[in-house]
Amino acid sequence: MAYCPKCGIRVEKDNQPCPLCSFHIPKVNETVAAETKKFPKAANPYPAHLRRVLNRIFVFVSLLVFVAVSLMFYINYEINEAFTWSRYSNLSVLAGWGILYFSFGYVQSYYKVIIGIALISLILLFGLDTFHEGLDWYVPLAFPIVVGTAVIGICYWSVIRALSVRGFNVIGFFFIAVVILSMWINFFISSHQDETDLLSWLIVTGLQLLPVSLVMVYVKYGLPERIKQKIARKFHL
Amino acid sequence: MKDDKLWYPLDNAGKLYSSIISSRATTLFRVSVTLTSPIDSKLLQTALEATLERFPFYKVQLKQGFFWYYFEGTNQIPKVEEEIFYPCMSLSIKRRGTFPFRVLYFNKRIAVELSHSITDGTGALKFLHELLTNYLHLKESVPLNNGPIDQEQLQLETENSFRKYYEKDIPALKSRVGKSYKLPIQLDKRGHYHIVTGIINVDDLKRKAKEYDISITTLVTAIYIESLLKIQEKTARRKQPIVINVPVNMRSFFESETMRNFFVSITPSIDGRLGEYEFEEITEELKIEFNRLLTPKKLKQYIKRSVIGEKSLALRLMPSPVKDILAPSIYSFFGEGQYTSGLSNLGAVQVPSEIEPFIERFECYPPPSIGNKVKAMMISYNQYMYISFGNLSKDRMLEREFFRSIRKLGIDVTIETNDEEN
Repeated sequence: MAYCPKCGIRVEKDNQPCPLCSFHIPKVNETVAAETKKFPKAANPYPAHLRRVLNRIFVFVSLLVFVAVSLMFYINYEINEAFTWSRYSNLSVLAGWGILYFSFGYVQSYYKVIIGIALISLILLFGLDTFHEGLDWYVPLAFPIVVGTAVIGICYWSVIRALSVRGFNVIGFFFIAVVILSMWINFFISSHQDETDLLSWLIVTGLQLLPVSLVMVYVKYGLPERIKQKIARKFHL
Repeated sequence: MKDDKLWYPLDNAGKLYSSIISSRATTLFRVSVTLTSPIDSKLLQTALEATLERFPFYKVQLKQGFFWYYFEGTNQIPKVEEEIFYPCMSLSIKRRGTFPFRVLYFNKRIAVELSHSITDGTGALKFLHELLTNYLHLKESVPLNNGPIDQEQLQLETENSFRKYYEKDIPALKSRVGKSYKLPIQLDKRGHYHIVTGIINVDDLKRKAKEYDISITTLVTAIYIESLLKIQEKTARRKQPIVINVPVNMRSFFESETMRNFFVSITPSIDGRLGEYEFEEITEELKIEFNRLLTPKKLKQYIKRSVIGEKSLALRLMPSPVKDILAPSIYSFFGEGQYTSGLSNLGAVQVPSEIEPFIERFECYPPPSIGNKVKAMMISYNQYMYISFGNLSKDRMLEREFFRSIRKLGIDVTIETNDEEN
């Protein structure tokens, strides 16, 4: 029998952490008694159960998508003798199905999920643009915005992964990502409309980051510890 | 009577528990017995079948009615299983074909895990005792001394004792506890349940209890509250009362042989805002509180309060899926939300002398609960008291404080846990 020097309690096995305080109980017994286990190595069936439910939902949705797409093509062809409106709806439905595939956890890496969803969006937007009398807004607007969003998403995720302390930094970097993304989108919309002088525009929008950064610096260094604790308690992730 | 025609409604406690079942709050609690030799699963299966012959009202499955859940008889036979999950976890009793209990074995231990919707600790112990006797009869040829069961006895064992002792004219208890201190700990993953069992010599506890002139339950409750006060001192900026939910076995106060739920919860509390408490002050207050509440007259008020809920017309007319949605939040607000933790004493187990040589110990684990992430349950057998903490969190602050306090009283404690193997 061994004792934890901190808790004073007795445990059966020595040379391992105390079950109450994790203090390492030193080895006291020279002979190792062959001991029967008191508990099994416990299995946890919940992840597998959740996977089964998700699979079922995905198969059901896939069948539904297949039926809907076929039906819409058929109806469209019967009425108009050509594929007209059904191209829009079917492309959207298929894109939705693809996004569902990525969001159901079949792809483990978040990088791949972001790239996958971006590719689907690109294909969807390309399709929607070409179906309507050739390419119009795809190249100047849709492509850079989607690619920009994906790149910012990937950068955000890389930064979050690299953080040693997450907590509020996750929210902070999220704000920064949103600001950069807004600037990026705004830039392409403005340049598409030929409205502003791009250089001064960049400076003006860049300045918008300043108040956000100041607030964040204050939260990090200026806020009293008590309030920080309270916010951390209420909003912990 | 054909078995599949047999059905009975749940008692008021069972009705509540069946509606709050979730993957974490499984409402399952465990009573187990450890024998001196490894368990033979085939004999255990035969023993279980014989036990269900004796208690046919446990050969049921939970079904959802339009307004309430109910138990329906079945011809299926539950199978004993080797233990592979965390205790009290991974059994959804609402799924078709599952029983509101399961019988597990692991090495030398037989464990019965029952949902609180079918019975309470006393019912569970009777069931385990019958199972054990049948098993030892097959394995070690211990003689059985139970004759055939008559209808009258079955009637007594299935009666809803809450209803029997319910009196309409008694005023219901009005006291609301209000806010209480909560341990600042986070839930662990779904399906995980951490058990810490402390083994303490009963004589040591008795001696200590005698010093303070209180019962063992009061002593343990006092230590429990003292530990929580210490934790509150360390972790909370604004203090709140420590409220402990202590179930009381009503069979000790009212004549009943029921194998279904028959307990009420009393809630002794110590208000941390009133200043620092000495241990003697806590024991003194608890002694008065227990003496004041544990009388048949007062307890009838508790019965009234338990039953009055299920009698309300609005609640009865509410479809059961709606009850399922509302019950968890109502329960966490009015029920366990008002308590800091729960401590339940199953009492001392006594077995006939002929089976005693084959038994090493009895243990019990409390049902997991989200509102009270840590709960404790104790049982004593022969020389030892087994206090088991069930914890949905990985944090052991209460267990640590509690067993250290016991050590400080000069009582030896041996600790066991289910986490070592994982």
